[in-house]
Parts: sequence; structure tokens; C-alpha cells
Amino acid sequence: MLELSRLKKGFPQVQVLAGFSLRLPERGVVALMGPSGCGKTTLFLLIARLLKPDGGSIRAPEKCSLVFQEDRLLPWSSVGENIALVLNNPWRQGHVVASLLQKLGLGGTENLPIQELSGGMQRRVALARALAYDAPLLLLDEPFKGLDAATKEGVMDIIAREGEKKLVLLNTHQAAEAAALAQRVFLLAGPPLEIVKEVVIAESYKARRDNPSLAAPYRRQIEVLSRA
Amino acid sequence: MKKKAKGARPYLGRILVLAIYLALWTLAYRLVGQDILLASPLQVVRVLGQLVVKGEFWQSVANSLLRILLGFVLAVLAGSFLAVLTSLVPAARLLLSPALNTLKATPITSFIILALIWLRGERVAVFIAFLAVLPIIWTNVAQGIAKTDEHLLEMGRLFRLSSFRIWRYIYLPSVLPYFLAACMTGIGFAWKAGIAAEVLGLPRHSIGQHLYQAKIYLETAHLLAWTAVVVLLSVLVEYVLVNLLRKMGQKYNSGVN
Repeated sequence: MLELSRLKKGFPQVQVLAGFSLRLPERGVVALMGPSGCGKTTLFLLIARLLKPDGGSIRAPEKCSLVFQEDRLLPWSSVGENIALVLNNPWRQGHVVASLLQKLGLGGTENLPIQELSGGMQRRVALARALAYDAPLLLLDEPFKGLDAATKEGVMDIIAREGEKKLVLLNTHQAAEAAALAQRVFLLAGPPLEIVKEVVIAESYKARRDNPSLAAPYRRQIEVLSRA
Repeated sequence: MKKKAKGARPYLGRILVLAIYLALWTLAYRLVGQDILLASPLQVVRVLGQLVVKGEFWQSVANSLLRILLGFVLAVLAGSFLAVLTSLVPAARLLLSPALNTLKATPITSFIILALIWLRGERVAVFIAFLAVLPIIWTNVAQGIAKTDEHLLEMGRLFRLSSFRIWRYIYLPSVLPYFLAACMTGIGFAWKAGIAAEVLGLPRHSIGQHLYQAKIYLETAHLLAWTAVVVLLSVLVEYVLVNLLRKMGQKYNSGVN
């Protein structure tokens, strides 16, 4: 469960949040869509407690996982070390890392240096690290950046499955991603950040995946709304 | 390393450069025409040949080398510790930065003269080598800590990494290039400052003492021969240190190569 009420946050040049409120349940995938610079990333950093709000309150799980907009991987470490970094149980580390990499189509890359990976592969390592850190809240800041279509589909499956167990917040610019993956889509504007419109999607992720024509109308609706 | 494939060319170049310098030296010797002012390369080589067969030569070299290395190692340890301390504790930074700045600005000769009053001859060289290297390590390591990627540190906070992991996986690899650069600069400084301290402190059986005696007796060939020894040792020590540190850098998988 996530509850933000009357959040305020300003930087010297700009008031990013001026009384922003939002309530979300314990589970599900929620997409946030809005133009660059509207304040989505700041919102994520506040929820993750990496920034302090100037006012208002945040009720969020103590532990929170996040895929940053940048990958933020250790450039001097291997793929496996980057993921094991957030794991504390030394006995299960190897197993957890291997199975996550397998799921993300990176099986057998444990010992490769990060810098030898392509941009899309690094993005998936960042995702694997966020998934390895088991938290009831998962924040994804443009997680599909640099992924090709086939990989993206696999990653969407994984995110949808995470959404059955926990709350997943997804920042994206792509109406197609939001329409395919989320149960609720918030269209945002700012700064200061505000909710312009909410689109609720009734069909399950699985139904939409098996029959893409179900997602198409939502995608069009979101595109029309976000252009307005 | 990989240039070896190109054959003997680089060596040829180096030998040529060496020959040019030796020719210039010989020319200068001829022009000056006085052995007291400048010895010829041949004389210097002859003196070196006489020196290296004596046990006392090796004892002096070993004494000076050990003193200076001891000062260097102590400075690396203390400098790193102080850098971490002043980076972590604002009060320590406030308290110690005037000391650091004074240390940086004071001529090393002033310290040598003070140390001569305070300490026994052989300890002066250790202390001076220590003082010469300390600010270099301190400044560079502190800078490395300050330049550590804020994004990675934020990532560390998000995933609630232990302090140990933050230092081992984020700070250490970030600081390592700064640390290595400081060590390489520092060893040269330790060497020069340490020898200078010996020349003034005159501990028995040391390179500094021999340099001083050569000056007193106007034995220019000896002076140059001992200087050559200092230069050669400096190059050698730096070479060994660089390779040692490089191995360490690889072990801690930093981007250093």
C-alpha cells in the first residue's frame, strides 16, 4: 500500500510537487505517463526515501526496490557481482543470480565484466538487481529503455508476474507499454506534478497478451489523452 | 608490452637518445676542462665500478632504501587513514585541513632542519620521506572519495548496503586510480626528500653521507656516481611499485590497467 498526501518538493529553480496526493493498493502494475521533466523521477526518489519532501506525508513500505533511469551498475564488477551486491544470504546468492539472469535471457553471463555488455543487456542487469532485492514495492523508471521488441515482451511477462505479488510503479513514455502492462494508467502533467486523467484497464495482462486487439483501444485512448 | 612485435626499433631509439646525451655530456666536459667542476661519463662509470664491489656501498644503499621505503609506507597508511577520516567527519576536516595546508606549503628543508633538532640522524630521513608523501596521499585519496559517483552511492543507500559493502564495492574501486597515481608521484618525492635529509643529517653508511663527502672533497666523479645510483634506484623502486600496485588493482577489479 502506498499513500502520498499533499506532497511538496521544490528545487531552487522549480517547484516539482505542490501538494501531490495519490493512493494505491498493495498489488498491481500502475503506469505513470507524462512528458519529460514533469516530476515523475522526483516522485520516485521521494517514495524511495532518497529525497526528503518539503511537506506532506508518505506512507510506503520500508523496503523499496528501484530501477533507476540510469542503470547505475558498478562498472568495475561482473554481472553476477552487481546482482549479488543486494543479496545478503551468501548460500543462496549463486542460485538467485543464475535464475534471474536465466529469466531475463542473460543466462551464463555471471562472470562477464559489466562494460562488455551492450546497453540493452546492462538495462536487464539493472532490472535483475532490482528484482533480486525482494521488496513489497517495485519502482521502474523507464525500464524498457534500449530493449528490443522480443526482449521487451519477456521483461513485460516478468513485471506482470511481479505485479501479482507487489505494487509495481512504472514510468514510461510509451502508450503501448502502459496499455499492454498496467491495470491503471495515470496521465500526468507538470511541474508542478498533477494527475490529469486516469485510465482503468479491466482486462488482465494475460488476456491482453494473448489477444493484442484488447489493448489497442486503451493505447489509442491514452495517446489521444496525452496529446491533449 | 605489445610493441615488442615491431622488433628492436624502440630499443634502437632509446640507445640513440642515450648516446646523444652522453655525447653532450662529454662535449661539456671537454669545454669545461676541469675535473673538479664536471667529470666525464667514463670517470663516473669507473667510480661506479669501484663502488659496487665494496660491501659498504650495498650497506649504504640498503640503509637509505629501507629508511625511505619505511617513511613512504607509513605515509601511505597515515595519509589514507586521514583522508577517510576527514572525508567522513566534518569536524575532523575542519580541524585538520589547516594542518594539511601548512604541510603542503612548508618547504621540505624547513622540516629537515627542525627534524635534525628533534631526531637522531637516521630517523630524520624516515620522518622527512613520511612528511613529503603524506599530503600527496591524503589529498589524492580525499579527492577520490569526494569524486565517487553520487549516483552509485544513492544506489547503495536504496538497496541498504552495509557500510562494508559501500566501501568495498563503491568507494574502494573509485578511489583506487587516485591512490595509485598518488603512490607513483609519492615514491619519487619520498626518494628525493629522503636523500636530501640524509645529506643534512649524515647518518652513517647512507647514500646521503656519501654525497656529502663527495662534495666536501670536491670529488665530482663520486658525486655524479652516487647521483646516478639515486636515479637508478628511484627508477627501479618506481618500476617495482607500479607492478605491485597494478596487481593489487586487478585483484580489486578496478578499471585500472
